[in-house]
Amino acid sequence: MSNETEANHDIQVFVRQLSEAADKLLKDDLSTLAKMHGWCEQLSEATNPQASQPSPTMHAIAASLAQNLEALILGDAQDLDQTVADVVTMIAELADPASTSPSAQSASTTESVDQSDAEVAARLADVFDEEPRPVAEASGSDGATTPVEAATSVPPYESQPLVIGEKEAEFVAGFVEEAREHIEAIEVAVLDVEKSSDGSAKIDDLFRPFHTIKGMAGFLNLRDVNCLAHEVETLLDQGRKGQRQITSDLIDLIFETVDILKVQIESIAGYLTNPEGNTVPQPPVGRFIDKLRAVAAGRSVCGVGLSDGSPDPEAPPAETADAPTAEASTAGAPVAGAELTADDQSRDRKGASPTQPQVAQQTSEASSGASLGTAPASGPAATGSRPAASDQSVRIETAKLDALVDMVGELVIAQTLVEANSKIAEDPKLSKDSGQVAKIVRDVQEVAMAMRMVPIGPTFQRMARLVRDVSRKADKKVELIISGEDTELDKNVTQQIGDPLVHMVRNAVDHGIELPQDRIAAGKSEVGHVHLSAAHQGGNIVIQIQDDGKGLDPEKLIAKGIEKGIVQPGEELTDEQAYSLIFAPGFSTAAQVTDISGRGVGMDVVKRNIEQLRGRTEIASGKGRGSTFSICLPLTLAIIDGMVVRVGGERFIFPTITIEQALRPRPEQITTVQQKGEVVKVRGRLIPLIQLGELFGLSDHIDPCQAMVVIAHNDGRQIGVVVEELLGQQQVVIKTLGERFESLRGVSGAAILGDGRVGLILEMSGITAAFNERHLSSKVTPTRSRMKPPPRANQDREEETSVAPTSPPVTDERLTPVMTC
Amino acid sequence: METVAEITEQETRAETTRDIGGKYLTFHLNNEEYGLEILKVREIIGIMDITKVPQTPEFVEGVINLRGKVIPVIDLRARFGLERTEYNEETCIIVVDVGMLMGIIVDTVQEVHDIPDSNIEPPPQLGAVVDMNFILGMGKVNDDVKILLDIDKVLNSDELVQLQHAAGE
Repeated sequence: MSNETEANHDIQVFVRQLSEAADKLLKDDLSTLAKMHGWCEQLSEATNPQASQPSPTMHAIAASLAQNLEALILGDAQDLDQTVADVVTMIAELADPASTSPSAQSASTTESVDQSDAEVAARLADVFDEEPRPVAEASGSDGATTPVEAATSVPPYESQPLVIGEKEAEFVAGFVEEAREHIEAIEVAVLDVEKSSDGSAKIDDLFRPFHTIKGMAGFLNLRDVNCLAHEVETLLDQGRKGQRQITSDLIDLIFETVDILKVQIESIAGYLTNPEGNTVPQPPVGRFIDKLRAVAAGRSVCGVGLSDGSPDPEAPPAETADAPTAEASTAGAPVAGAELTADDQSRDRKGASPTQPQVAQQTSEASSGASLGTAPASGPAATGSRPAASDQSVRIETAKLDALVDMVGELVIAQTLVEANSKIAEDPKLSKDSGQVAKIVRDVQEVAMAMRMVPIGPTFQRMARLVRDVSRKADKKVELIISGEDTELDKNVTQQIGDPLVHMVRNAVDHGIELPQDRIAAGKSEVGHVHLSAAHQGGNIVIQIQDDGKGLDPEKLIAKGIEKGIVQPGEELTDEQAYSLIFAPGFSTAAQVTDISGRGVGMDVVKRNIEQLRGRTEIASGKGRGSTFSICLPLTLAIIDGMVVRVGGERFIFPTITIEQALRPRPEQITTVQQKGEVVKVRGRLIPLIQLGELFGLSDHIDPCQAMVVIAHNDGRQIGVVVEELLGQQQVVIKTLGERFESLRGVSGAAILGDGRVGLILEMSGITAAFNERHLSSKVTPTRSRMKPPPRANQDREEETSVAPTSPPVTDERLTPVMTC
Repeated sequence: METVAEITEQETRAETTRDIGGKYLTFHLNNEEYGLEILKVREIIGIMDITKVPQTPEFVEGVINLRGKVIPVIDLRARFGLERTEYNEETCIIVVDVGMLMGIIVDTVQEVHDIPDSNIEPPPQLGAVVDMNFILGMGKVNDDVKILLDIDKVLNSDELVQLQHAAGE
């Protein structure tokens, strides 16, 4: 049986290679360790009880070796030197019986090579074909594509139809999810490698995720993915050993691989969500893999090899990029739980050989940990037990989290109501206990809130790739500086801020930063800088995109605005107002439309997206000095910081983010216009006053000098809202009013206040719109109310006896005591 | 002649309408007795703090916090154009499910009656003065007559937001 002889031969080869390597093993020689790890995996595979050459002893030793090596590679082992010594001993053990026993053992047990044996052997030959051989050997044996060396023994890579069985689908889904994370880690690591002068240390960060993807893909029989990852790994290995210069061409090549990997992963994900046909659609990667092999073999300089217009490296991302990514988001859902079962999965599929997938999982966890800047779990990997890392996170449906946050909000309110009960004060024990409950409730609330919080780092890091791509396309030299990546915010916000950020960063590079020659001419350094930062500010997070480019030119913007009909000729705009023109739909300042940006779609969408997140944008700019775009976002979408105010006996909530200041104006600050409108002069600016009580039909005109004016902003314009009293600042949980109230203007939702009553959340643009309309439509506003003493402004809240003009006065007076109790 | 015509009309009605017999929650409103299909009723709560909502018709009393859910509350007297009265201990909010939860304010809640279909008569023809659309039928319980409300129509026939501004008097 050829399989058997081959396997037997392989076992001997592995053992010999292992002992050779063990002789000169150093704990930080990662490439050798990685190779040894590969051999061990295969050795354990080849000797498992179902294989053609079963050998329980060797199988166990090989499995344990593989784990030790993995620990060494990942820097996981508690005592590196000891582990190295262990490894050497184990290899010696392996080598001893290996010279005699395999053939003896095989003689007795291998009469029956059933279907699964053949399958395993075939997979071995198929998937791990080139791996155990030294790189030089492997690269010498393939690469038919290069014209230079036509004499080759290995034919060009050919994809095989990929079939995912029903049983495997779940595991593949798990793989897809993990692979996405690894790809993200890879993109970050690639840029790190490119940036660092001595990339060899960083290459390991790059190597690991590729290695994990390769391992998992090999295990799941995703051959194309496996081979692609393998070839890149080979290249990286050469780079790590100093055999290959890390050039930007190589980086490009890796990025291209990543793009193709993404397409592969997403097409698999697409197939999983919507399985059609027997085989999974795969992008054609054959020629790209051949290219990689050629590059690895040194027969093709990667720059030349890729720029010669060969269609394959370009084609796959282009043809499939749109559809699969759209599906990508939906594909995530069924994945949950796959991680937990990965272990069982390995046993199911590989009989008694759980080692390899376990190792793969460890790698994935450790490397994703590393990419987030946290220390990898230092589990007792050397002993062979699973590291504790697997317990460190659980995937939860966001809907469940949302429900929890809602319930906790209610709990807090209910608890506050209980605490307010006068009986508590009478009973010291009860008072103490209720205090304890209060503390716990607050803690629970904090934890519930924190559960939704994730650092913004990964979102930022996606921009690094973007900056690189855009700047290269635009022939600019741009360096991206990231700070504050540990800043945490709501997961929903991080998800939704991604697209606006992409637009703004792209704009900063494409429009903001000048060409190198222009920069030099302007006396700046050739390399432009884009600084992406995040920081907490009050209850908000402020994300800034700062560039040191040419800045915004208000005059140009206004001219353009006039041209587009957005600005009336002669209209006076402040610089800020001029800047905010770029958020107008269809507005673009780039003289030329490039394929990167400049079509004027984008910034208005950016603004809308940010507003949907209840955030706001601010622009600061200096001509020639660059621009700073600040996005101020709430930490979470479920809660806002609000200023509770009283108007006409009702409480309303201003989102704090809209408030600039609150003041009690002096009479000389107030000017009436035709007895119809009022303006207040604040620091030289005239701000229209809106009588909220009148607008909402809750009260008569209030003398602003006897009340408070909240200066809020809306679309860069300020409005002054007259309220009776500020009741204080409070975080409130946002509740929807439901569809029956959807068309309400000026009210965006409701919140349950501390006493359990509902307060309405104000919305500035609606208020402004309602106010303007009313102003246009109303006849002369009766001025008689101005004569009246200001109602209630100085009264105690409890004595509140407001009369809503909408209701018949008779009932209302009687009604009020009930309502305020 | 007249009676015959009435009877035939009743018969045709009965044929076309569904079986509306069942359990009804009865309540008082302005000394009249009304009934509400019990299946629509979620809970009954005492009158509580109600937050006014601007730009709404007069019968929309406002919104309340029903254990974390914000739901609109309708004053049924106002809805039917009756004179409002002071809310007191007996005043109740009946929370009904009409696709969404809504509260209706009634004078007093009475009890649940099982009214068989045979005891329910179609709404009387009282001319244009009374809006019969809201009425499922007239239920006879012993000697009393309960006005059975089609609560979906009561609560859904109108948009809750009035866009014209109430201010300016």
